[in-house]
Amino acid sequence: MTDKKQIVIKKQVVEDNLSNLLDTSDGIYAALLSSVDGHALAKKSVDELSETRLAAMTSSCLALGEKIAIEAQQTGCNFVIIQNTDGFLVMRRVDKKLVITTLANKNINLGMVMSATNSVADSLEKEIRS
Amino acid sequence: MSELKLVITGTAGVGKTTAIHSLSDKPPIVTDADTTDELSEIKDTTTVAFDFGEIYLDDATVHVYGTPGQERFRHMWEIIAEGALGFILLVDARRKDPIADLEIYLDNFRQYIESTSAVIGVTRTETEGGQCIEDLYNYLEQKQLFYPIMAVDPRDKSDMSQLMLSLLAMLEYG
Repeated sequence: MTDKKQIVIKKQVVEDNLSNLLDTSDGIYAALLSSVDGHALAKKSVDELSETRLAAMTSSCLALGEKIAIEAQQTGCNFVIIQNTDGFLVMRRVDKKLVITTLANKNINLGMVMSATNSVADSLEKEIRS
Repeated sequence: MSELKLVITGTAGVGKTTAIHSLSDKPPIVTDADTTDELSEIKDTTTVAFDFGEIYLDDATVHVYGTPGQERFRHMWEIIAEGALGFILLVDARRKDPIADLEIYLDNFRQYIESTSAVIGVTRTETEGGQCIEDLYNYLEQKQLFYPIMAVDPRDKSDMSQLMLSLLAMLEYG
């Protein structure tokens, strides 16, 4: 069974994980789970979020980040991070075929965003593999 | 030595990544991801950002970029097209409506193609029902567009080199 099909089946578990991420981290205002080929699968957001385009763009960005790391002879790309004046976007691969993107405002420490993203990604990986 | 930028575009599965593998003198950079949708019936991975290959000619280096095929990656199309000197449009003869496929890419890259040039490579013409080149010529003629059309096998370096050289000739002699 593909990760994507499992995610559909475990939609409630995924949404609980994403909700928990937003509830427990001040400053994180949206989270999106998508496939590595750019399809949005689940999202939680304080405000409106156009997840369709964002899913496709994060797919491109993650792939580029991973390839740039390899080109620079660095391996094991854990995160692709976009930092800007309004905050952060943090992308992390979840298992083989999924990616989680966390959107945070500038009032939160980047390390906290990365740690929270890591926790939810690990939790989702356990669910997918169970 | 000059550097030229060319773009290969076309529908998902038409053979863009394979063409760049055939053309490139160095192992190309590919940004492929596992397919999780209906495309997985015909291929295991798909390009999500771009492919990149390098071809060394006597007096120039050609940088070839391949676009993602699916329209949800349209955000990459403009980024890749910027600064390109010419476009190779690949059309899959096996698909339901190759003319409609060509039209999508001609329309989307129109502003860039109009100021540069393009050639059209038709893949899988050997398959049953794959005889669409004449229809494509007629379509282009109706549109008053005059671009070379060639049947190509993206796996064949010679085929792809011919297509690329015809594009370079178009750019040089218009």
